[in-house]
Amino acid sequence: MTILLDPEHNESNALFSLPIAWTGKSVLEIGSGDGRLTWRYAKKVAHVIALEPDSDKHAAALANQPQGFEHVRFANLGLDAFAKTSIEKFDLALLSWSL
Amino acid sequence: MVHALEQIHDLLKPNGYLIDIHPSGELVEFILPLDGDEQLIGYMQETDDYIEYHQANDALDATVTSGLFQMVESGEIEFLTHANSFDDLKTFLDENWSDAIITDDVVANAKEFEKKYGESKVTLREKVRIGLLKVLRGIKGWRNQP
Repeated sequence: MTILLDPEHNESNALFSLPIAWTGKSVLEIGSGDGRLTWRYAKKVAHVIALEPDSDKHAAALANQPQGFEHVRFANLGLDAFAKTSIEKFDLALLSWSL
Repeated sequence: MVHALEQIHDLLKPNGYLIDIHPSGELVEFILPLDGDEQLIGYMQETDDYIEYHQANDALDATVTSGLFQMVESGEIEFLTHANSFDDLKTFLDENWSDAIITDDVVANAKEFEKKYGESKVTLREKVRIGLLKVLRGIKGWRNQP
């Protein structure tokens, strides 16, 4: 079964056309799934925490993590649980198909 | 949803931004791509009739109205999912889109058009909204106001 999700990169092109700087930023991604979108922007930023409450998707993201992305940390957590314990403040939050 | 946006606001720096990506709530289309053209197979249904996406729009609007965020930019893109066959796409959706409903009519159309045009590849076309919102300080105590 071959499935291609947004091979046109319409989603990431739209992200990168937004009037914001990505370089050096800290990002909180909410609903990172298997990391599909994470890999497309993570190289541009300094640090990512990617939240995914679904264990299977979280495991897939860890399994798919390419080399050179050690600045990306996946957490098997929902926003609520993360917000209760986090003291870090982020430059960008990315609500990725999860509102 | 508004509570989640409040939590995100609190996790952002004072000069931070929120980028929101979610389906627009328009009907998702099954398309048979043809040479320089396309054939609409039908529309995907959802168990909740796409209501959650409209609620997401309302929640974002509420946080703008209440002064938590300022909408800087908002736009819409097409998000395409390509599959080698309708059956492949259906299997993928069954596994990954729990509230998707593919009606018998759509399945029948897919088979009919595949036979008619000799083309098995299919595309799912979603309209997706991308919004950039800037953190505002918010009106102190607004969350407790009626």
